[in-house]
Amino acid sequence: MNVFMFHLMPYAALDMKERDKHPSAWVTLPNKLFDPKIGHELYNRYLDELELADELGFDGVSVNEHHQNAYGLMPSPVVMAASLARRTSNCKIAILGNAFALREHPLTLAEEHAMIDCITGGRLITGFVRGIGAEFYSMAANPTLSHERHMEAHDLIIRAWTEEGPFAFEGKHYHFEYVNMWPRPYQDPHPPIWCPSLGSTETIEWAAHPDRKYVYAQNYSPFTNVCKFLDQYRSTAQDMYGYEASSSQIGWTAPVYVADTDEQAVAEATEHMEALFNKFLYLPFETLFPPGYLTAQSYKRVASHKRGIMGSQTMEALIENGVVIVGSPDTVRKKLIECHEVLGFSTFVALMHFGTLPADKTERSMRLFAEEVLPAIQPLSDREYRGFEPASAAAE
Amino acid sequence: MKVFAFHLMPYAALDMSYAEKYSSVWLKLPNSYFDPKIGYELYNRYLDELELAAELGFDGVCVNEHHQNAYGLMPSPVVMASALAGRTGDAKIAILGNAFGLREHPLTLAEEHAMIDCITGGRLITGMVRGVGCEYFSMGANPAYSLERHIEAHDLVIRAWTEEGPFAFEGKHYHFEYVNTWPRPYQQPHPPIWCPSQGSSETIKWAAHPDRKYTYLQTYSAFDSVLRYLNSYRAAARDLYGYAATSKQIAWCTPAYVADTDAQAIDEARPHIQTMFNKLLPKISQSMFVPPGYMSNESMKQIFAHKATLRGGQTIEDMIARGVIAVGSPDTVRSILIERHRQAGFDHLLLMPQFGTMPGELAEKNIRLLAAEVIPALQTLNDDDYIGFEPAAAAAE
Repeated sequence: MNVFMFHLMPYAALDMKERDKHPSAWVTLPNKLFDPKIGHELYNRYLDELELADELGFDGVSVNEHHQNAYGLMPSPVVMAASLARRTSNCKIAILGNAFALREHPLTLAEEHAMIDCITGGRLITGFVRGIGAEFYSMAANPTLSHERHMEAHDLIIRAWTEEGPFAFEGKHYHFEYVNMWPRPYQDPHPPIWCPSLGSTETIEWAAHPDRKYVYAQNYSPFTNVCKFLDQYRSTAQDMYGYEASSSQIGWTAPVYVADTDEQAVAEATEHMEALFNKFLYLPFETLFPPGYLTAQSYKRVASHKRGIMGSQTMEALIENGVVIVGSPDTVRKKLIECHEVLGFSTFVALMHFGTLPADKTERSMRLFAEEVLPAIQPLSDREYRGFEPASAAAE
Repeated sequence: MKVFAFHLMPYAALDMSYAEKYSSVWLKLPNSYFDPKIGYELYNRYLDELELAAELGFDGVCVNEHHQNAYGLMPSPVVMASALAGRTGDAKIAILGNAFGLREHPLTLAEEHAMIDCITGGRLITGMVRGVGCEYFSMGANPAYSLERHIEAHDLVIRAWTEEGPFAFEGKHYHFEYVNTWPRPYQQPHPPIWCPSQGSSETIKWAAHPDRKYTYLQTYSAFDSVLRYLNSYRAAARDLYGYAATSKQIAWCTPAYVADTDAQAIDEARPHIQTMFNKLLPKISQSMFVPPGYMSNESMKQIFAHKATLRGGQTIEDMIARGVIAVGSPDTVRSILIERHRQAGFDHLLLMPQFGTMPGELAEKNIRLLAAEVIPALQTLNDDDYIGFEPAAAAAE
């Protein structure tokens, strides 16, 4: 199993009293609440944390894109990936992801990914996301076109990365007379592509298609839902496309905190984890899923699964439902081995910093995880996976 | 004076037989000419060169934006500025520039510049450019709107950086209901803004406006043209706006190469500088560089007159004689640059220590010699060493 450290880079110094005067930490939360001097310290601290992950033996580090919010200060994961490029030496750098189709010029992102892939000698992983609903407000983009633009931007970029330029591209949404990418990516034919998702059926079916077989990464959800979505990917591969998905196509993302004992871990992490879910992540439903962003079918499914994690979460419930993994090294190790046995994901993305977690605790948890958990989970493979049972997936 | 190292990051390994089949290295030169393995080595070497310059005492390093070409492999200077952020100590990082108006979402660049400014604790300089004409073909953008989009994108970005969000922006080209940039830039009110230009009179007048007083950067030209453009900025400030421009508003960029003797410098630089000017630089005579509507007629005439002589069949001797480049022994180059400053009074000098096909060992030797023998004498120059602006003389030309 490949284990990545993921960072959201939240604005941990957020004044929560001010925050509570606004519906969420997104889109309209006034940017006067951001102090650039503190931002300077946080950015450098967070980059240090990701660089430490490289030194500690994580297989990769991950960054992502969200605009106009205090939940994650990375409107451009490209800036962070590029900053890390020559300050990490071995690890993969995963951009999970960039919202190519939010742009009128998705090729600018394709150029940037190709540059980073060249600079790092092929350590880049490219995540394709549509962006969550809030992004469509920030970018003044039409959510009803989101899915088809996402697919068309993808097609344009794959062609730009793999076909000799110049060629013309005439799509429904994108029109370029001269597609001729300089530089081309280092990896041949292109960087691995991952699809982080909240669980939309369209994304699962699209990612699992035999032409793509992209890594599907389910991000934080109760573990029963993670199972449902990841198994849905495997059953889609089997039933719709007639092939057996490999575990290398399956990924899972979850917040993780490790301390010497379960009690200590819970006591130390509670405030910061609850801040992540209740103060930073929370979004009014219409901001998360604006009209037209999902098909009616996906909307129903995602709504029923996600309502459960929005709003007033308690640490106990988060642990109980398997949304987060918190405890002693033994507990966390066992939990991950168990989950892998059930789901067989060959990628685990650990959010080692969350909410307001301070630097000393983040570093200690990372070091404990790297010493006590990583060595036990990195060797896990399909041998330890119970195997996919389509009947059980269908019955759920 | 502040001295910067500017890098274009050319694809120095280009198979020069391209010229038998293609008229330029821009836009349509197939990207099969680019080998990613070589790209990997070049990018890392070039970043090493800029980091070395910062370490050896250059005041800053500079990168820029050009799409789909072998002249400069930086479609995104943001990537390079970010890569340099944690590896350049106290040096400034200048993005010269980004073409904000080429995008439908100029705020994505504003966000990126704000991030880099925060990461570096305020070492960023933001260049705003329209992009050369060729970029309009690469991006499928309409050159006729170039100038007004450039100006509107600027206004949007400055408001996003300085006004409390969220606010709505309704322009002619840009429409955003919720402008609320997270993060905001580190520098207050925002990073210094520079306007690199080939000398369009619209840009000069716009940059010199008292609301802006942006640093005007003249890219490489024969020195008499450089002087004319820099003086036209000072003249615009005085005649149009009634103030005296300071030397801080004036910048010049030139390739520079130093070796132990003049003869050795010329010998070593010759193939590489001639490649840059004769093989890699845009040929202004080609329509793709000045697409219809990109410039006013007035600017187009001026630029053709000044730039036409730069393109094609240049020898290093011509370029030295006309002051396009500074090449020679440390003494020679130092005195040339001191003399240029005496005439033009620029407070920012951008030296391009690598150009064209110049290999790593020569570039490094050049950077070390410039840092040791040339830059210290330039960094102490100020307005006392400038003859001063004489509007009458400028007007007479």
